[in-house]
Amino acid sequence: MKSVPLNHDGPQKSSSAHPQGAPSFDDIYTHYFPFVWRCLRGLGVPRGALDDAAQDVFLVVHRQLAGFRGESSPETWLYGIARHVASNQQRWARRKQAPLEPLVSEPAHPDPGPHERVADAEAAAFVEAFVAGLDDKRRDIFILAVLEEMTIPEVAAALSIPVNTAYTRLRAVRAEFERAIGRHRP
Amino acid sequence: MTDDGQKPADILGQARRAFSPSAADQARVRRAIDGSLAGSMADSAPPPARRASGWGARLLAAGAIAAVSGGIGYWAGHRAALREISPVVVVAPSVPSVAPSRPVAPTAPLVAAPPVAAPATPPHHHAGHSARHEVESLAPVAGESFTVEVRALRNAERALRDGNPGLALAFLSDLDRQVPHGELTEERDAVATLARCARGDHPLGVDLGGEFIERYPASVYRARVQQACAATDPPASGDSP
Repeated sequence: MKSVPLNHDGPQKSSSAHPQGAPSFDDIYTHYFPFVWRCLRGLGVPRGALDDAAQDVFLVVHRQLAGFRGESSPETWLYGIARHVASNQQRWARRKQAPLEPLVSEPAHPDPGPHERVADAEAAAFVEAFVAGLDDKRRDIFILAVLEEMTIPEVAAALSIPVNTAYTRLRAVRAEFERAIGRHRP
Repeated sequence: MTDDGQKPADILGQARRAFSPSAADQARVRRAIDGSLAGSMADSAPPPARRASGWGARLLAAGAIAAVSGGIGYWAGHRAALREISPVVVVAPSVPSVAPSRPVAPTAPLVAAPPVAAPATPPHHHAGHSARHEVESLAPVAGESFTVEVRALRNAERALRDGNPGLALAFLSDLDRQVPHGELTEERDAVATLARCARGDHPLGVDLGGEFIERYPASVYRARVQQACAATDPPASGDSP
């Protein structure tokens, strides 16, 4: 995912005060909500808990926005928050009865036809199952570098790991993904 | 899915589409966030540091005196105000799961957001998910009076927003009983004026909005009061009920 330039000069629409030059909450929300949502899905948050999880992420963003200095990319910052929220959500869900998943998920985009929708849903289920089988390190790499197509230096910064380590993990997880696809074929 | 020789990139593209939120998802979560923020601003207001135990002790003493001596007459008036709105705890019948819709309000909030101490973990129960009005039935202990004030004012403002000025006034009466000499006098006065104007009070020869503005000429609620009271403050327009 490419970083979207944030509006630093426009009128401050958000109620949250923020220092001059910092992105507003509205900017962050508008541009990065899809990113956060997809990350939460990738991090294993079930469909029925996505609303709450996304809300939690952006409440943290709202609280911490004043301290965000832009030294890292917004994706990096948001992914850290999303990972923390997803972890909390899963810990909390384990203690409770699992919420019922809707039988039919609301399609994200109404435009595709039924065949495309089925294909998208199958692909999503496959990827979800694959990600669920990864350990945390490879899962992070897969979500950020493979699914979100962030650059490896960005991913390395986001995960606080050396760039070479990120490349190594990326190669490994890509190979694993291809093997999983091969196994899935009849 | 993969039985037709799809490439990993195709599968990822499809999964990415399926993972992406719809515009409705984005709007729905935004409303929930706005509702939570509106609620938590009042909920998490910490008492000012300068409020020491001596202040709390004075409040307790004042509350006790009010309850024992002058409280009887005051209580009668308070019950009269509550008569039309029992029970005290009210759950709005058709409040959306999040409130209010964005933007939160075009006007200045009556309870300004104090510096909020962020909790260590995100909350699981969001104030925006519920429109329940709460009434503190116990006198606040030392150090809690400011929180009680903030909460009562928030409840009163919600009642106003729900179109129930009588309930808002009852919350204020209850607050006056619990914290007779609070800090947020201008806010109390503003909510009371807004509620009375919304209820259609027009006491003979009294300009509710004008008097508020006279008392607080630089108030941030000035425009709101003027707007709310414009219809009910014609000079000598009638008697108050």
